[in-house]
Amino acid sequence: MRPKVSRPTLWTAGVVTLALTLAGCGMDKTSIPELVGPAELGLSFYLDARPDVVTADGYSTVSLQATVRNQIGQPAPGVGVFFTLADASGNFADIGKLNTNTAVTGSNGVAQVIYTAPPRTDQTANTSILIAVRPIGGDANGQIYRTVRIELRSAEPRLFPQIPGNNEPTCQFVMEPATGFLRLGQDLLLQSSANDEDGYIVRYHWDLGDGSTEDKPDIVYRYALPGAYVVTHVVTDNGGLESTCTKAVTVQ
Amino acid sequence: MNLRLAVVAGLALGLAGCTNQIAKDGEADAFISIVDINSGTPLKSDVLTDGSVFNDLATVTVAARSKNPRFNDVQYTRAFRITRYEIRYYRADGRNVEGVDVPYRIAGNLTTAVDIGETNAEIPIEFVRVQAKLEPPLRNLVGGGGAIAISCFAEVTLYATQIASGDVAMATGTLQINFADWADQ
Repeated sequence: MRPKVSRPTLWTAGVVTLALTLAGCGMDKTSIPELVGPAELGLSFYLDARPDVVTADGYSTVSLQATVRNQIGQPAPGVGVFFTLADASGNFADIGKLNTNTAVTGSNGVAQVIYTAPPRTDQTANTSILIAVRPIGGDANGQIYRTVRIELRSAEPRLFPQIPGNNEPTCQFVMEPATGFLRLGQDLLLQSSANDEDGYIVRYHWDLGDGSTEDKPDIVYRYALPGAYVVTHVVTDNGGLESTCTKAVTVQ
Repeated sequence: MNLRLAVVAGLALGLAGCTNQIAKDGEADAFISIVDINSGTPLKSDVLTDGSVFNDLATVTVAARSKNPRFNDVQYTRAFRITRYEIRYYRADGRNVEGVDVPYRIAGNLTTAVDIGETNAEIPIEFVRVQAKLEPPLRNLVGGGGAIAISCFAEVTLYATQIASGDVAMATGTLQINFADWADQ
């Protein structure tokens, strides 16, 4: 007697056959993957100094941030970073100081240290220094330093020697609000636009008229008391010549 | 019933083994294959040459053939255009941490065509980038430092697109690279 085969069993067998056939004789689709791997060094360092110009006064500071990325361009947390100081020629030298020499990157891949400018001496004024960083690994010989340059400016222009034939710089600045009328508590923006045709400006000095002074190209200031003030801006060029300009400010 | 099921299953299993793997890889009607790399010889890579670092190229010979061996005629539309390469480094001792034991894997783009047929294409591929020689583990080898010499293997994978169909094919090959601060000429 011929064996009887149920319809569901036949269907199951058919599906299994079809699946196995496709698995055996089908072609595997291939696709081109995304690009991978580093485009620069595998451990990418970006070192940033803000500001990159600082007065050599013994207390001005610079924030140094080393951003570390891994071989696929993502922030690399937990990487030990070694910071060190070098002179303008790249020789290791303690010109100024760092609050620490080692730091570890956070979850954003950033390690941060603070640099404090050295006191003003003939060696530290109007020069530059290099901040150098490298990853802390198992063999320092295998590491390359990445650097950022910070300019040190003079805090005392009188120490500059006079250069014969030097022309004095042109002093000018922009004030916001331009009218010079301020409400008490309102910010005053002062932005130097001074220039020196035969050299460069090495010092930007501000006297706010209320006893306060600043040594930066641009400042934002808020007066504590109402009154009439005269803002005096003094710029010094690399030949030691000064130029002065003023504007009146009224705070009500 | 059991007899019929057994026959069907047997047939299916038979079909499962009916196709050669090379014919299954990719949907194109042809395939690419790496014939040789650097003529089959190891690559000697100098990590510092006269005070400078240089990239290392090696020639990869690539063939493109029809999956149907009786249909190998040259047609431009059936040719492949190689557009991507990937290189992964590994060692025989199993120490394969990238950036520590071996260089980081790299990938790059290129554009070169390979015709179907008897003529092979010779493609120079950058197997070692200068960046790899500027960081561990290769930089440590300078002056006989670090591991002194590292022998590793570079597995290269080429990806190609068939010009007419757009189907993608791939091929892999391996090159031995001996890294050291070899004596400069």
